[in-house]
This record gives sequence, structure tokens and C-alpha cells, in this order.
Amino acid sequence: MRLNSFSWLLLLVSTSSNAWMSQVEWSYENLTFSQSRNLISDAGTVNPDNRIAQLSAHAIGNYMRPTIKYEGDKFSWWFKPRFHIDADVSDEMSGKHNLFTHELKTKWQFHDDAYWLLGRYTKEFGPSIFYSPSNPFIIENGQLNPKFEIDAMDFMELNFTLNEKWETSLVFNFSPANNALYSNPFFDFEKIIGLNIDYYGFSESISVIVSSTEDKQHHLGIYAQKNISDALLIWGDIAADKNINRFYAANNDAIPSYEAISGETNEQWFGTALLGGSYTLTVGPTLIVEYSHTEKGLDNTQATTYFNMINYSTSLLDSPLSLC
Amino acid sequence: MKNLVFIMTASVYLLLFMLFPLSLQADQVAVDTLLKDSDFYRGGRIEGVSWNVHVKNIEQSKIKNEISVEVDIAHKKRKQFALINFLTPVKYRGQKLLLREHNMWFSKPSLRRPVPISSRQRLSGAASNADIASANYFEDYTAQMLSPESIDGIPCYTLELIAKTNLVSYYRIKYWVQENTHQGLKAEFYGKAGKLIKTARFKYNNKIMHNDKEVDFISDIIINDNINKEDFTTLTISNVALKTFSSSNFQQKRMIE
Repeated sequence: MRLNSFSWLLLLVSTSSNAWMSQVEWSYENLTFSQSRNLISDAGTVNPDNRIAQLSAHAIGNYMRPTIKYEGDKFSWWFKPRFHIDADVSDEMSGKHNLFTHELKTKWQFHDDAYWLLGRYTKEFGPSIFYSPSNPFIIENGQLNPKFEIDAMDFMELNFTLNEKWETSLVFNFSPANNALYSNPFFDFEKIIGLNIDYYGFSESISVIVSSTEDKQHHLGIYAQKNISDALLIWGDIAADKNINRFYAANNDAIPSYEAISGETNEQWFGTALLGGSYTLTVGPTLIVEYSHTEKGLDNTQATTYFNMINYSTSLLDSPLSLC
Repeated sequence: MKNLVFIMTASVYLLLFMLFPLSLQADQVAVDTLLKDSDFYRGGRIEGVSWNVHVKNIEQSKIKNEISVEVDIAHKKRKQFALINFLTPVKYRGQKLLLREHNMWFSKPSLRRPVPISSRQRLSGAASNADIASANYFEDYTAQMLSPESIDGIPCYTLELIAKTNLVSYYRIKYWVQENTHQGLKAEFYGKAGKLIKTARFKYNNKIMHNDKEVDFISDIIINDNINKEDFTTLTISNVALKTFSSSNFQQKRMIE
């Protein structure tokens, strides 16, 4: 009798294990690439003579991208480790490798119309191709070069589907994780809390997101799309930001040099708008046009000072006293 | 006496005047019922249903390409939702299409978020994205009864459907609906200029339970391209199952999970 019970137990474990395993999916993508750049020597750019960014003229690499996913009734998780090998083959061969977790997230579907999401992932939304001004977490949307992944950050979010027309989510971005943007000394990461409301109509959808950071940076983003006909689709993605993290060049009075400052003008509201449209021809191809305008850029005076600063910095690199 | 005759004649005219719109309305009710029924056998107006579709494109008598998709469909408050998951070939696995009324998005693993698309963007061969999902002719078209005709010797009602909006792929459809079953057997799809774009034939060899009765359900769609007349696309529908879906199953955000 004991033996039978034990057999049953084994069978149960085996059955549940198989059921669990059958819900695990995995996939693998390998990106091997060779990249060449034509670097132009021009002092009037943000990267004069390639001295600031120091981009490789010729690079090769191999990116290994597995994805493991478990999807259960209530709980699901995703794990996307990455192993990148990059080599600069411009002059002398030099290489580096990096093993890291690109995404690791878990979902708890605690109600038919509601779920929690927690973990490291990218938070992309909006209809545009160039970039997504309405996104307060990361403006780049990875569409211009979909082969390269956007750095993930750490999020926690609560999603509700209110009915067939309305959805809402509360998103908390609590850590920059591996995001390279925040390894730059100019950018300090600020925790962001955002409230997103989506509306779906007959042939249109509109989404609004309001967010604030610990440092009182406020953001209002709206994106919308409308199907005008079976072939014509239009969209817009707009944002208004206050207390932004924008640096611009200024003369330093104390010593003959320049500095990048985050000045008083950043306290005003800045608008950004992107308008786009696509038209699908009867024979198949789709034409897409986008136009963007932002007030976050530099005016003529600020731009002149900025380029002077860049040129001044590179001239220091050329000076005999330079340690570089 | 003369006045009495005149009053009686006027009364007949008045009666006819009152009955004429009612008779038209009765005709329209019959047409609407016919269209609703024919939509049902092609997945329309069902609260929740899922199926698999195998699409095969045949050009010059050779299979040019094949794809398999899994389709989840829901109808809530006369709104149509559909989520299409690509299964094969392997290079398309993970790609998804989401339809919410006349909004449509596409996603694939290398895209970080769904991209809005228009209904003209085709799925494969002569099949449009809408062909994979359920028929929703009652909501999208205004129907008018034409003279009855037969298809392969089967007596059919003939309907002319005119698009209610310019959001649908075909401006006009000539639709043959079997008289005794109300199943759509054949459709001709026309553009705005009146040009025949494609023709489709429908078969109903699947079964579903409806009101405790087993009923026939769509199993095959054969689409002939009117430009390349020898080329055709077949859609084979299998694994039909009635299900209940929450609205959250059709969230844009969930396309990239």
C-alpha cells in the first residue's frame, strides 16, 4: 500500500512537472554584425574629429539573446540573459565581452482584468517611429534600429482594464538598472511615478500619461492615432515637460573656460510634438512620414556657445600640456 | 355615393401609404437577420471563440508560402476584438496582430512595442488580416437583397453589401447566402471604382455547440485573386473552441510579453 502511495506521488510530481514544463517556452536569437562608419573631420559638430565619443570606424560583434518564458494561469515570468562580444578592428584589434540580465520580470494576474508587473524590462509605448516624446521613462523607442535593444530599467506597475474602451496603469520606475544613459555624469537617475490612461474608440485610440520625479520634474504626454481609411493612418505624440534635466553651455566667468549648466530656463514648460502618417499602396508597400518639433533644443546663442565649448575642449586636448 | 367611393379609395391609399414602409422594414429585418446568421457561422457575433488557421498561397500551381496562426476572437457590446498569434514558419513565430474594432496593431519580438497598421496591410497572398478574423459584415456593411441565384445548384439569397465606412478593405461585396442554412457560400469583393478585386468560397465542415445543438461552422475559405486568376489562397480553419475572454486579453501592452 505504501509502495502504491509512493508511486502515485511520483506520478503526481511527474505529471505536475510535465504540466509546468509544458508552459515554459524558450527562443534564441543570435545577432552577428559588422559595422563601418565614415567619420568626417569637422570641428563644428558635437563630436569634433571623433575625440569626444571616440567611435570605432570598424567594429564587429556577436550578441547572443535567449528568452525563457513561463506563462501560468496566475503567474508568468520572463528571463532574457544576454552575452555580448564586441571588437574594435579599426587599428589594433581590441575586444570586450559582457554577460548581463537584459530582462527579468514577473506578472501576477490577480483578477481577469488586473495584473501586477514587476522586474527589469523596457517600457515602450506610442505610435511613432523616430522617438516617443510622451514616454517619461525613455524617449528612444528602438524603432530606427530594431536590431539593437534598448537598455532595460526596473519597474513596478499595476494595470487595470476597466471595460472594452478604457484601461489604466500606474507605473513606478525605481531603478536605472543597466541603462547606459545614467552612467553619464550629466544625468542623475530620479525615481518616476506615472499614471497612464488609455481610451480605444471605433477607429482611434488616445493615451494620456502624467508623471513626476523625486526632483519635481513634471511631464504630461499624450499620444493618439486615427485610421482615416483602410489605407491611411495618422498619429501624434506630444509632451509638455517642466523642470527638465537639460544642460546648456555657459561661459565660466571665474576662469577662461566653459561649463555645462542646468539653468533657470529649465523651470519653464517645454513642448515637444511629433506628427506622423502612413499610407499603404494598393500594391503593398507602406509609406511613412513623421515630423517633429521640440522646444528643448538650444537657441542660436546657446548653440554658438555650445559649439565654442566643444571646440575649446578639443583644443585643450591638442595643447602640449594635455595629459590625454 | 361619389363621396363614399372617394373616401374608400383614399382610405386604401392611406393604408398602402402606412403599410409600404412597414413592408420595407420587414424586408430589412429579414436581410439583417440573414446577415447576422451568416456572420455567426463565420465566427461573428460569438462572445468568445478561438481557432487555428493554416494559410496556403498557391501561385502558378505551386505552394509559394504557408503560415499558421492561432486566433482569439471576442465580441463585446457589438465591438470586435481579435488577437492573431503567428505559429509557423519559425521565422514568424512570436509575431502578433491585434484588432480592436477598426484599430489594428502589429508586433514581433524584435519590436519593443506594437506598431499601428492599416487594414490594407495584407497578411499573406490574397488574404487580408480581416479574412483571418471573424466576419463582421452586419456591423460594417449595409445590406440589400438582390434576385436569388444558385451556387453549385444550391438556392441562395443574393445580398449586395455596401461599406458603412471607408475603413473596410472592400467597398462593395456581392454575397451569396444559402437559403436553408443562412451560411455564406460565395463572396465577390469590389473596390470603390467597381473593379472586382477577389472572390472567396466558404465551406462549413467544423462543428460547434450552439444552444445545446451541434451546428456547422466555417472550415475553409478559398480566395481567388482577380488580377492573377490562376493564383489562389486557401485558409483552413481548425481547433475551433468556444471560450470566454476578458477585455484585458486584447490589451496592446500584452502584445510584447
